[in-house]
Amino acid sequence: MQSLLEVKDLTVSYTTPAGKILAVDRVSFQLEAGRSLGLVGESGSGKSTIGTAILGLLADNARVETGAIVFEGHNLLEADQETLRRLRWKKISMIFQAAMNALNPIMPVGDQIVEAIRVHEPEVPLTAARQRVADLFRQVGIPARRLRDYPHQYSGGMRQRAIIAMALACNPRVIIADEPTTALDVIVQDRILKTIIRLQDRFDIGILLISHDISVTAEVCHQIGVMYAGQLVEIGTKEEILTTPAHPYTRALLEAHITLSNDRQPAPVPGPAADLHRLPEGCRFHGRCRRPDANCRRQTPSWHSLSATHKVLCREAESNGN
Amino acid sequence: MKNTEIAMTRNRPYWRQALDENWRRLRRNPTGRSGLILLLIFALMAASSFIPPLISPIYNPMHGVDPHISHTTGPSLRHWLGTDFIGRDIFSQLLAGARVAFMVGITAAFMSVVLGVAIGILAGYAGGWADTVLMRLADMIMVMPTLLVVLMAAALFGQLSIWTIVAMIALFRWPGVSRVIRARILSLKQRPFIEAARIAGASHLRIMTRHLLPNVLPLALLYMTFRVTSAIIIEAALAFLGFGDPTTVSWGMMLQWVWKTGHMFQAPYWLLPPGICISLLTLSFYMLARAMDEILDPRLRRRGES
Amino acid sequence: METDSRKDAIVLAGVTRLYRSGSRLLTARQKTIRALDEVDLNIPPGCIFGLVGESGSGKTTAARLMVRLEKPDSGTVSVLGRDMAGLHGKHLRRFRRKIQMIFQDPYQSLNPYQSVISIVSEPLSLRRQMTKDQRLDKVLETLALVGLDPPSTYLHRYPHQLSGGQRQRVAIARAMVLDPQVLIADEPTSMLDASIAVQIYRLMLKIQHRSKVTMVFITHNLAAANYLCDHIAVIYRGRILEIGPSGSVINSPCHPYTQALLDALPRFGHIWKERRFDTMLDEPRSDIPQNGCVFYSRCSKAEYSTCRRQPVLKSAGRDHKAACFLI
Ligand SMILES: Nc1ncnc2c1ncn2[C@@H]1O[C@H](COP(=O)(O)OP(=O)(O)OP(=O)(O)O)[C@@H](O)[C@H]1O
Ligand SMILES: Nc1ncnc2c1ncn2[C@@H]1O[C@H](COP(=O)(O)OP(=O)(O)OP(=O)(O)O)[C@@H](O)[C@H]1O
Ligand code: SF4
Ligand SMILES: [Mg+2]
Ligand SMILES: [Mg+2]
Repeated sequence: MQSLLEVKDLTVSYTTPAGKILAVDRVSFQLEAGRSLGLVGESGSGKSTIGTAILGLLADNARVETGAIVFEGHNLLEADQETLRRLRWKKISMIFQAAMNALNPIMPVGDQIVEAIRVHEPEVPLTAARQRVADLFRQVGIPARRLRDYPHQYSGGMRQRAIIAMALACNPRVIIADEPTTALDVIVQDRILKTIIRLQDRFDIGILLISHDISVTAEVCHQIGVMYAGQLVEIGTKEEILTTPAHPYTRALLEAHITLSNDRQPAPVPGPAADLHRLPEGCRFHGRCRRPDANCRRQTPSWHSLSATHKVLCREAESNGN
Repeated sequence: MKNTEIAMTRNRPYWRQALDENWRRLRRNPTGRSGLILLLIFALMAASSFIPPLISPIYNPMHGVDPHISHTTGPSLRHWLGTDFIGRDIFSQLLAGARVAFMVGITAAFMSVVLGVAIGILAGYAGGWADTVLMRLADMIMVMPTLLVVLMAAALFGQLSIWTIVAMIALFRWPGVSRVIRARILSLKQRPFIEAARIAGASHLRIMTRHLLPNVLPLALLYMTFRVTSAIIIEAALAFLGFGDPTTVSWGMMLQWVWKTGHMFQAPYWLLPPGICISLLTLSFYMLARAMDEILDPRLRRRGES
Repeated sequence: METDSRKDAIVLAGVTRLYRSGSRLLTARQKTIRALDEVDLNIPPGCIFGLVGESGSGKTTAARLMVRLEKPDSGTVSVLGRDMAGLHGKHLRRFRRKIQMIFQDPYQSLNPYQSVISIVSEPLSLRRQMTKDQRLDKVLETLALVGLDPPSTYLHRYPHQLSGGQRQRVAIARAMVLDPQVLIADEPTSMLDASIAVQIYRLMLKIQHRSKVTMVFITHNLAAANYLCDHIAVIYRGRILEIGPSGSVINSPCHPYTQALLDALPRFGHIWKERRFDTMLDEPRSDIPQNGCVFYSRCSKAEYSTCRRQPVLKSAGRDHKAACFLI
């Protein structure tokens, strides 16, 4: 089956004063239409770098070392800036964390989205664009009468929903949502996630949801990928990751999650976060792993399939004889 | 005392690190580098200004008259840039002028920035009526053209010494600085680390000196660099108009002598060097300031966010 | 909580705090926001008290009043038996050492130009009677307490050389170095990774266990409040809507707003697999009665005839109160 977006063996480096680091190291995954993939991992694990690489918006000191990003049969990494610019918004759009502060304060929110449509699709007449924006607002749950309001008259959650409406404005095939609810309160987060779930059912969009909170991805996504120190260490369906996590880091993340139940005490992920400048030999996680064996310190683990959809980068899975 | 040892083995304070880092960027920045090279040349000129009088008293920029020359002459081996209307060596004067320009520029800039930063921090941090009063005062002074005021003072009190001029420039050039500093303080004041210091029991004085000051220091340094340029120009203009300190040789003074003795169009070897020096020195400070602006600006912004 | 109010660590009595937003260029009308509205709150000593509510509900305002970064427009705030309004200058500075605060954003609450040693020892340097060595010992001890181990390796680092979690630990060390009696933590983990948050919570529990400091923990997440707190107060638009022991507030929430907060938590790891209450409307009501219940516009249970008055806190169980007519 031809997937909508395929990231193959992507490696991205940053040149920093302290040397070159691999922020993303040979990451591969696929995104199908109408499905969503959640990327989780702690801060600095390279989640946003993947998002910006797909959008072609990497920082100046970044370099794609290897790999391909295939969207509808074309490798985006070989596309020129002009093609990329046209793809962005129209085909692949994005929702950033701070995006809700990116609205122009002196222009009604509705008009801003109308303008975004007309920039990317100049052939659309004004009335049609307006109609489309009104529809979008209904989809994301903002009453149409608020179209003419200015951003400061919106609450934080409404602004974020307006950003979602803007991301949907040109009927994209893929949406990259980088921490769309971080720093919002639970009630607003719940609303935004519900909106995203509804939209994904309705429009056949592929969603890449980036978050450091595994419960957020569990709420929305069909598939979850776990990242550690630039590597994808486990990927599988939501059920597989939540019920039969195979990588010790995934398990630690799940255990660290605070739940309402009193009979399970959350346990923090042990040890300090990985330092990309000084990565250890062998498995990158071995210093924090609960049960590393001597080989984990020496041998780089390889991918292991646990099912057709579930893969893990850990030696433990090997020794379990899968 | 193991613990005291730990406290002693400190690495360099962050402001030093930040300064070093900025210094490195400044040297890599093309504008900054050109400014620095120019500045270095002028600094060398200023530093070597004491040499000619040592070689021979005729090279004294103020009193050293060549006994064989009683009028202006063009460049020669004996006088590299020629002599002025009473036979003083122009090259020596140029070197002495560099020293005066540095002295005037840097002292006046330093004083005005110290004043401006102090008032800016005070007004921004105190707020309320203190802020209003100080800022109205700043507005009043800001609209007064410095040059005109100093001219009037000179007309009233007769000849002003170079230090009086420096003091007056400082006194009239702080408002711009204090406005910028105040604006920055207003935003810093809202930052939680200031409130945290208050909760920890820090006094107002301590908050202003230990928390606010280090955070505006880069900005103050930038403004100081800009101010040097304007101080040099003001002093030159004053001297050229005949209100300078007659006991010091500055480039403006040299221009005034050219003008007064009617050699404006007859002696380019006399007119051009001080003119070019003024332009180049102010240019070098300006380039430095621009480069610093470029370097500091994104950093200031990024630090707030990330 | 039926405790003797003179013994309570923090008492808010009829506290109202108004903010006036200046007439804006575009809207040209002045609005008054009631950040806190006639709040009565008694926080017993030696416990962790949770203040939970959505964004804009007035949590930070309450915290700022408790440390007297602000004053109430009416009502009194007393901490450790002292009316905070009566304290000024030196007395205020001295009293404040007993009440410390941790801020939301560790990237903003540390001075970028101060090293860790200078940040943590600053509160001590205002204490003249301590010698330099004593101060340093205290700083090292506190850094070890907050889990920055070994402490000496952190002394001369600057905030930008620390991770978010480490910065928040430094902020906690700064607050704890004076051995305060009250510690207020305003959403201490909302800027940190979920996996780091647990570390910070564990640290707070450890500190509370060891020093019996009274903690006020501010959050919008009832799961986190449940994990940390002995008591929980739910606040909405400047009013306390429900208050009681954590177990009873979480397991038998009475107020529709508390129920909505529980519903809003992600399903993963939730004790209830389905949304159980559905008390919050997607689209707010428009027929809002004056002086009615603050939650009326978004409450699915509301009825105009009963809810058009302001409900008061009513007993809903042992030490458990809620302000809703449904009880
Ligand atoms: N422009 C850059 N220059 C140098 N290093 C960078 C740059 N951008 C990111 N990095 C580094 O690359 C690594 C991955 O960063 P990235 O932003 O992708 O992480 P992330 O998983 O999105 O983390 P977060 O949860 O904090 O957003 C980090 O170690 C980060 O410090
Ligand atoms: N300085 C201020 N000027 C005007 N209004 C303010 C000010 N500070 C707070 N407010 C308003 O007071 C109300 C309560 O704010 P507060 O900061 O206490 O909320 P909060 O519960 O801490 O929210 P959050 O979770 O977003 O931090 C909000 O409506 C806010 O807009
Ligand atoms: S009093 Fe009425 S409006 Fe208020 S929470 Fe209860 S039911 Fe809802
Ligand atoms: Mg990121
Ligand atoms: Mg707050």
